[in-house]
Amino acid sequence: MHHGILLDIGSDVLVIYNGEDYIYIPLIHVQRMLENVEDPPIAVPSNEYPMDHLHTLSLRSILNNAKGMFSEIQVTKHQSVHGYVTTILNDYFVFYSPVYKTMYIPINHLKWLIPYTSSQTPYNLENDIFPVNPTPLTLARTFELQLEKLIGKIVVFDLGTDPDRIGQLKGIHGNFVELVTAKGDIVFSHLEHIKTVHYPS
Amino acid sequence: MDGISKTIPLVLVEWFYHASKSRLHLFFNLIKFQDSERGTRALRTLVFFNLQTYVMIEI
Repeated sequence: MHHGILLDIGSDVLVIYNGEDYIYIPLIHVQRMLENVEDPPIAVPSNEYPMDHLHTLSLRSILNNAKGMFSEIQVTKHQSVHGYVTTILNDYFVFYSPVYKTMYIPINHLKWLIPYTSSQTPYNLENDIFPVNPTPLTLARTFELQLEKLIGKIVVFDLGTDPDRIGQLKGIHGNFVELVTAKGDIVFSHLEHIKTVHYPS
Repeated sequence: MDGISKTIPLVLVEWFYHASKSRLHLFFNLIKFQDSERGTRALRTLVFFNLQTYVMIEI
């Protein structure tokens, strides 16, 4: 549950301020909203938005604004990832995390994004360790086509919290992705349910 | 209001408006709207009338 002051609404995203951070939430993921009468009110921020809202406010414009800007995102249920957006394609974006390195994330699985408002870097790392163009592979237009480029490689889906989501990518059959796990089991995952993909470099 | 009433039923707009004006505790289960374009429009309207409100959002 996110608490904050409703600040702005765009075509497919809303913005709240929780007293510390601006949280950009795609409308498609909002399940319930209620007025917060339990907590003491927080002041409306007087500083500027961390991103440009003047021209258009949409999820795609937010991702574009977030390019190269340190931010925290949540895609899987209980774990957020820190890093920055590097590229936005048709239905996915590329996110660089100092922990997971290059990640491919379908846009419709992004639950929220919080841009860093200070000059802090993730994990207090030095700025020069963050690559400007970290993607070693060329980028395909769609998430499915990008996955095809990873056939034969070890890949990790959904941050690897489930052992069945780590393995060698054998192929893509229709909407199903075939993975061979460490023990040699074959697991098929529906493409639409893959939230993140990264691979050991 | 005209622009909004063209996209969703006026009665819904009025409900949102009065809910906003009377500061009702908004408890609006949006799950039933999740997959519809109309639901997204309704949510946008609800938020529009409640900007600056302190809310809790479940995602």
